Amino acid sequence: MQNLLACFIGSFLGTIVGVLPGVGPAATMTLLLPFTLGMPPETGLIMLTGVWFGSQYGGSTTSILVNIPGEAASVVTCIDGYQMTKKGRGGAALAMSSVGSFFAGTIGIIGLQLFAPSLATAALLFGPPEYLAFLLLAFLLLVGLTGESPAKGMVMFGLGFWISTIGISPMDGVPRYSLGSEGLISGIEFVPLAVGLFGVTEILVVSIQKYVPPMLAKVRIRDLYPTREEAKRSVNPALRGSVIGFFMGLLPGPCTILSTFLSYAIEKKISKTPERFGTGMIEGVVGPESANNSAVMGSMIPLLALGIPFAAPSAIMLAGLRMHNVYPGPLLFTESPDIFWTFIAAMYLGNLILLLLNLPLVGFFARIATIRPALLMPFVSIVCLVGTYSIRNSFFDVWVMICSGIIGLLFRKWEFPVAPLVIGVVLGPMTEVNLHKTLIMFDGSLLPMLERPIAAGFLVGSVAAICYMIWRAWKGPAPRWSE
Amino acid sequence: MNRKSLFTGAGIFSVLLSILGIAVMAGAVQLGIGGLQQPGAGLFPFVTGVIIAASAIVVIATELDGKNEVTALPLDKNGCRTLAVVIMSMAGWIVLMPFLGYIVVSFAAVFALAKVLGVKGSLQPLILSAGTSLAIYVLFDRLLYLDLPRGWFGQG
Repeated sequence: MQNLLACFIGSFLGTIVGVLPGVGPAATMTLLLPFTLGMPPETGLIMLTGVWFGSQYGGSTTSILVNIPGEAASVVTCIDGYQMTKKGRGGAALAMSSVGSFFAGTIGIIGLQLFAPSLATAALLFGPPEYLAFLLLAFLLLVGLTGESPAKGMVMFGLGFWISTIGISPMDGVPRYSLGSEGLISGIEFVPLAVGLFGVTEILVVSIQKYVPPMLAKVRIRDLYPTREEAKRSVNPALRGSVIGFFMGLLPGPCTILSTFLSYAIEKKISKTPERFGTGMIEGVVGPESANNSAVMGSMIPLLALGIPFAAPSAIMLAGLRMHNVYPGPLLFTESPDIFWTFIAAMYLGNLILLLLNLPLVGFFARIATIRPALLMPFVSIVCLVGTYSIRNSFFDVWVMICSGIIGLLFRKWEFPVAPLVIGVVLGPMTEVNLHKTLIMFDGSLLPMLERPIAAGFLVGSVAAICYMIWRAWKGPAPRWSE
Repeated sequence: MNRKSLFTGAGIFSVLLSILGIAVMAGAVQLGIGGLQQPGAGLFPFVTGVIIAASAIVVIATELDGKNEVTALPLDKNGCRTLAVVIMSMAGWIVLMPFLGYIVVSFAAVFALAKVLGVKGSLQPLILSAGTSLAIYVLFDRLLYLDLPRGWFGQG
């Protein structure tokens, strides 16, 4: 019952967050972290995933009705979704995108159920060299696949790694970069940092941006019915989107965003009437919206099977699980399989809850998009302050949050992506430990890694990633990275 | 080639990041990098410092080349003033909470934030402040049983 309630709350909150431009799932998940401390680990995981999942549903609402993407992953939906609204078919677009999302979410959960245990079994063969090589590949892909500037992504990774070293060294107990401060000796806590970078930064950004009230199109329940032709044209894009999204979720990076761009590009490419894309083609709505939901489940596979998050929301989930002393990875399936299977069961139900919520309540959720940030942000500010303080009853944490928020504003202003920093903070300790262990194993050399097939494979991939980054530097910038 | 000056906000920020990277490296050397066969506490931080400094230098180079035309978040005097008030409201919350308690400071902070974000009049901010304080009390005190400072008003 508790898990069902957590699933409902997470999905509901996630849908609201998805509808509201600016407030993203990462910020909301971070704010919920202190609340999940009092829950069993699987309940917390279910709630956080519900938020992420729900935000993919909610993001499409404002994209279609108002031409404002509630979520970065719904940017593409604006292109054809809003055109459908202008033609009076907004309700059908909403309905089919919800149905497509449900279908894709189900496919994603089935894929997670099938692949995660198998990957976890394979990961039992991983030793420190394999993990080190895999982390190197993951970081290079994260930096190279998206973002206008790989160099900025590398700076942020470096910063994240460095922040993770502040405090007591895990290898020999030496205090590092503490500057004699009691607060810094215990390290920078993840939650205040993430709340600052995602939540407080957003509050500061909203405070300086001019607010333009959205013009909301009205949608009645009877407008939700698609025509037979619209339903028929939605089937294949939903199928394709599900598969595309699922496999994109396995890759490092903002999987939900990338999957929507890829799905839209493919639908346009294979369409018999590509010139009509941008004028209200339902394929351009259903495909991307299916892809982003399936990508959420795909990205859970490396998180749960390997303990390695490939996106900011999954990094936050990893931090949440660690707060419960649960360490995702191969041993999760042998030592705590109940966590995984409870999560799977809840996601099936959560997917259904989201479909049942989104269709009849579309008017309610759309109205939420019209709430003025000036009314919402003060409330969010206090939740950030009190929530952060409540973790350790520490004012130091709240100061860290505020400072992170100010620095996050500077990062936003000069377009340094924040997600690599967050992932670097979460994965820094793991990277350091595996680096030390590998060096000790191979007596100070990293070359013997090439003699281990799995590690060698990842290293070859890393070289390919570097070559790709160099080629891209010649070609031009890639799509913007934002969560 | 359209070369830009380094003395832009982005340029100065990148220079500061590269200086940070060098400082991290210096700190790591002080901690002791050790040898490759017996890595010290400073080895990984040294590597991170190299990553930060080297990547920041590349960013500076692209900044000078004029390749990065950054236009996000234009900031004028009014914007800076608003930011300052928002940050001071949050800082004030921290400083005053031990004395006034979390409910009173939350009430005041929400009122100040609502006014600075443009909510007109007094009634709406007051309702928002009261509603937020009540919601915080119910959520954190009653539902989550968190012991938050009550200040002078909670003593006795």
